[in-house]
Amino acid sequence: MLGILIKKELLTEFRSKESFITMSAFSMVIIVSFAFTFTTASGRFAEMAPGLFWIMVLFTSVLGLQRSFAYESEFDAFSALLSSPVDRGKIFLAKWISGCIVLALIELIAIVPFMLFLKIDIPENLLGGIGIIFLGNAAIMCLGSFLSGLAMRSRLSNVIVPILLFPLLSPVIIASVKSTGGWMRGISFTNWDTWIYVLASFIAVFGLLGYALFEHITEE
Amino acid sequence: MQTFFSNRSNLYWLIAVMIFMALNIFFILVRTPMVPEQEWAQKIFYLHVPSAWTGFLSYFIVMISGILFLVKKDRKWDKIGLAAAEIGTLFIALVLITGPVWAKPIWGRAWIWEPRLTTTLVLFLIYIGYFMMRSFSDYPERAARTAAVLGIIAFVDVPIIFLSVKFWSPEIQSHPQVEMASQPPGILLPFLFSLFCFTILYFLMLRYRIHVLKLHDRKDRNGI
Repeated sequence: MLGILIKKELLTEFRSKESFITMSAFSMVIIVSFAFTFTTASGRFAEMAPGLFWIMVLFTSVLGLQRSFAYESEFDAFSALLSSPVDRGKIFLAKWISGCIVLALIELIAIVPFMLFLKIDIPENLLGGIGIIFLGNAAIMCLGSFLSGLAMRSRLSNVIVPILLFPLLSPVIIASVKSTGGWMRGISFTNWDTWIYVLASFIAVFGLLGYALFEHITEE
Repeated sequence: MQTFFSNRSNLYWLIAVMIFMALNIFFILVRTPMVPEQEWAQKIFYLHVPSAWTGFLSYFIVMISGILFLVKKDRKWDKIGLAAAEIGTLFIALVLITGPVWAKPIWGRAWIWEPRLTTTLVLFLIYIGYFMMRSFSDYPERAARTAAVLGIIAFVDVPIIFLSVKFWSPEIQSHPQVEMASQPPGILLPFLFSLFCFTILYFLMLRYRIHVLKLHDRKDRNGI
């Protein structure tokens, strides 16, 4: 059932391509704004790159989260989804996983202009970077999907989600930036492994909480 | 109509709180010793730490009320949660005001990303979102459910925020209240008394706010 729900989320997304296009365009706009705002030597950009990258991901993900639940409001599709014999926790999991997939694709597109425009060299050990980005995405989308579900039936939900999400995600922002920085500078993993544990524990705690509590927030 | 203080026990409670608070201020200003290098600035800790304790206790009550509301579906727990969230935010705001008042003369800067203060700030921001979420919900039942879930999430996030901020800036010195327990009795006893005064004040405020929320609820139901 989870597979069907993820497929439904991805099909909805890729048929309209709304989120995909808006998120890609938005990430590009952010990168160009960074380049204009921080007119600095290439060495300085490399220092700031982890922070800039995760700011871009955070802002872009908020856009995607809002679209993901906005679909459900149209023709009250969410009520139809809730009335189907599906474990509601699995609806949350499907939103979370599909959100991660879409965000990863956006990052794949955005990373090239990010490196190019901000004059950042490609670091060694790409696998390590992919792992950090995977964990960061999972943490952001986990809480993001849950909060978007929580706020979807409120007035001004698109305003409330970032106001709630950013402070709640502060450990994720710190951990992602620190671990990306450690990886980019080629520092030994043992010096920044704490941040990976922070990300992993965040995902575990809020993944479980989201799965358990999603039923309560979707009660009619 | 019966007011909150028509109830004898509430009235006695109020009188006790007023006497204890007056004594507390007297002890802080007159009886506690001056700490070298900090002088008068140190006295703010007799208010700062109890405010923080009360704020975090309050947010803990929000979480417990949230769990009980989701389990029992009794609106009583929503009122307790809301009252605790409001009063907790008030005390947390007090922490955020008194912290910089102390930090400016001691550290030379009003704000330093100290783990405890930073966690308090983040929690304060989360609760601003909490109140927004409540006020933007059209249905009281849904608002109550949303608030219950948010109260749980916010409190669960506290240790993760604290740990990450602590590792983020390990070079920043911690608050001096860490050593509060090992202070001489001249400092420790007034501090514990202040903690007690703030706690009973908090529970009186909580009872009062729950009473007001019940009146609001009755007014809404009767359409007056």
